[in-house]
Amino acid sequence: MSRIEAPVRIVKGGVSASADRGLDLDALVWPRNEPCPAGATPVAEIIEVLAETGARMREDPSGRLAAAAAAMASSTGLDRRIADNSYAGLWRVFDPEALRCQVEHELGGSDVLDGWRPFVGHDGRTAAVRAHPPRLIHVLAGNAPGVAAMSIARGALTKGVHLLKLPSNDLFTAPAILETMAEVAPDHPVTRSFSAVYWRGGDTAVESVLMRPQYFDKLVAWGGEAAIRSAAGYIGPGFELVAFDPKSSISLIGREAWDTEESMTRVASLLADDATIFNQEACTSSRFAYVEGEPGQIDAFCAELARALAQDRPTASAKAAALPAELREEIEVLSLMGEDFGTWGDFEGHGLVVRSADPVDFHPTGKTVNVVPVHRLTDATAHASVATQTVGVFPPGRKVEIRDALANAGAQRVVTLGGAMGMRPGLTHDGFYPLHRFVRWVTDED
Amino acid sequence: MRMTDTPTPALDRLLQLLERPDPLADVDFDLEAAQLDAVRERFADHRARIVLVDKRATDTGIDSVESLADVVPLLFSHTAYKSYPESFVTAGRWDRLLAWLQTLSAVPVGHIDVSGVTDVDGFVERLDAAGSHLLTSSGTSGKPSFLQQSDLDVERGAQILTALWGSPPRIPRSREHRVVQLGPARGPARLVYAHRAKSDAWSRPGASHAFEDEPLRLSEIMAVAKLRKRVAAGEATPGELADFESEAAVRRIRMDKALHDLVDVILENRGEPMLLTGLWRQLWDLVEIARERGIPDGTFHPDSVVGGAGGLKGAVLPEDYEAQTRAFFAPARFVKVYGCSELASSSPICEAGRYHVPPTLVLLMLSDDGETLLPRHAGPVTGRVGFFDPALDSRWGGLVTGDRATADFGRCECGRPGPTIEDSVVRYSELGQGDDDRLLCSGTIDAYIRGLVRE
Repeated sequence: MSRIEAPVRIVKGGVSASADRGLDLDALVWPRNEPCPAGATPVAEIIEVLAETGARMREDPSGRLAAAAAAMASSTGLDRRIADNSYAGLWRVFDPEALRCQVEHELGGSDVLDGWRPFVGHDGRTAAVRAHPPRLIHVLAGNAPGVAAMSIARGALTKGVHLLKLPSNDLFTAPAILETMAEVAPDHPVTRSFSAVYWRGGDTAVESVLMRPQYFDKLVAWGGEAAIRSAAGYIGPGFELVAFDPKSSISLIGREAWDTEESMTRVASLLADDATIFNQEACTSSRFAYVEGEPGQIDAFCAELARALAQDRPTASAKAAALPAELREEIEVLSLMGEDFGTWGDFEGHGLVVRSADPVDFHPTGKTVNVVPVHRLTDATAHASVATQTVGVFPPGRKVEIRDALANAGAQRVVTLGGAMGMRPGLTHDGFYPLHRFVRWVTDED
Repeated sequence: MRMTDTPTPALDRLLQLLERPDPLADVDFDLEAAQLDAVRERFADHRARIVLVDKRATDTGIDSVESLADVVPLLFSHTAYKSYPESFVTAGRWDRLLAWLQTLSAVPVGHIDVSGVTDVDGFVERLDAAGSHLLTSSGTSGKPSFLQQSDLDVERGAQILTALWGSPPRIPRSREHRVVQLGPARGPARLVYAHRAKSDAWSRPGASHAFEDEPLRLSEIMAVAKLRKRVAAGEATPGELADFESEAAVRRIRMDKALHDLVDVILENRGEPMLLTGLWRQLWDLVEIARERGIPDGTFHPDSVVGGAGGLKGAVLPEDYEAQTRAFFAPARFVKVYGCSELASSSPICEAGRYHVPPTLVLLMLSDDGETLLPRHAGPVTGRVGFFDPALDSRWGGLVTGDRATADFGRCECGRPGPTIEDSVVRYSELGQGDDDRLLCSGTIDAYIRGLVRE
């Protein structure tokens, strides 16, 4: 197996291209006896640096982002068009209004980051609270470039120091953003707050040394059960886990969808939007659709959905990779079982719809949607679980009727069908406010 | 009762080789051509009888097998045999399970009466009585596969096994041995049928032993699957989980008792020729018990043969357990085979340490993705292992495995003709550790279920 190397290593904001030598572990920690570089930098200034970084990413005069998009396309098998589309919108993560909105809604304002926020208790006693800059190791997921961008934006806003462990399927995005930041703000404290390097996940020679409370406060881990399990061994007093758990998403469609031919077509298109995010590799991608309606309506919808899955979308290909042989075989057998199962689409990557009375046992991937008829949408809430992230609902008016039951079952996010993609700044992510979890809350009590 | 009378002259020619003194060597015709004939014959027969084969052939546009490459798109993976929705079993929808089985079977099963069946063991028994002797195997998920087996398959399986087990040199079919299996005597498992075949061919009257009181109960295996489902749905109570743990402990005690009973039989009769099979960890338990009783190494009969199988899951054994076990059973011979539960024929290892694919089995070395047939010539060829087993009557013999191996179609060092497989087979799932951190944010409920695997 060939050694994986990040093309560029970023160490404390500086580019270190010496890929031949091993990691300099000493360079990857920020000593605790020194304050974090950006600890005294006002949030307003940080947002300025991020905004300039975003503006330069948008123009990309050095072609850095374009190169990262090309590299991502070749390493993940995504179409170049999809990689380009997803990079083209990446600057929005650094939109100053969006960043201010996050600070406002997650922390109640920048005052608590910039200084000590006064507090008066129920008994009149006073105190002060501060969101102290954290020291974080981020184990990034690589299926969408937004993961790196969001991690950098959130990391910068909380003023801490951030060691980004790159995933083998995205060695490019984080270094490209950090290099861009170094261009607009060379040697700025925020720039010096980031390192981005690769080591093989689970490599104890690196992880057992770095994952210690003496160097870092928290481990921010994205997806991948194996990655979380290996890292979880290092969690202990003083070294906490912040997990963006591996998740999957579903859709709930009410009988209002069949009111007109047009609405049925539109709903199929909205569901296809949600089901094909990064060709269904994302946690927000819907995989199961629980649908009210008569058998004839549902089958007509399945056929329309198969057509919708076979179209190009901003982050999906009309024809993605062919279905893995084992999944294909399982579906082939079901398709021979008569009335109980219906299949629409093909195995070649244009997308596939499987209709069954109960949810299928396999995990639908590769633009595959399992449509399960339900009597009422409330019946479908039982199919949400602690692994459910996003639930897309149509029509939006029916969210109210089911959102408590969905939350009770474990779901974290209810959206209007078609709106699964993109976490909105200022709202929660995977059931928590990330900025709130990232910082270390410290009090000064009178 | 034979379920089918389809004549299979090409296959019969291959099966006749099994009756020769060395079935792995005594071939006096063009084996490759004869095997192609047998594949062609089987394809025509099964396309007419197995729905999924016909569908696959139609979808891929393969109407006849001109060369072995044509059979590659028609291979099934092991998933086909566990592709039924689990709810068919957990909700007791036996007629639907039967309909599923029909899509993979060359014999009719739709007519079998499954009314009144209450659990999966009852389902298996009902089919057994009707001439469908299901074989099952299960992974750690607890979802078993179901493999169709007709009377003819059972009969042929016995013929193939007793021609190849222990080879080389071949063990003559004479009833002069004690035959012991450290496993169930009854149940829908390949090892049960193997034990029966070995006993019929080789055991003296009254000298066949297995776990008589511990039949393989599928419902016990499926209880794990059922519970997993309830845990995933958030329905299982802590009490249920605790009961499951204690039932598993009771089961372990029962199995230990069954093992100890057989250990007594083995040790008392170790001076006579014995054919013994068991998991390595069971054989190691036996060695430890024997040592406690002061029995030294090397006291077994020289005509004895021991077959050790995998299954070290969770057991803590000394690093050299295999060498110590061999020394204890000396001068008995140890056998090693490479095979999959989906096929009738396995490949025994030769004196030179290579697995010999028997004449009744067609080795198909494939590209890693399983889609292209690799060249069949002398010299090492590495890729995904596929097989076509033309001997199977009631289910399809085309299989693509999850194994990566190096094969050689030339003559082996031992002097016999190929093809042979190097003793270095690995699972693809165990390769590619570098991909461990190809991280995605998507995942399933499986990541949220802890500690529910079959021991």
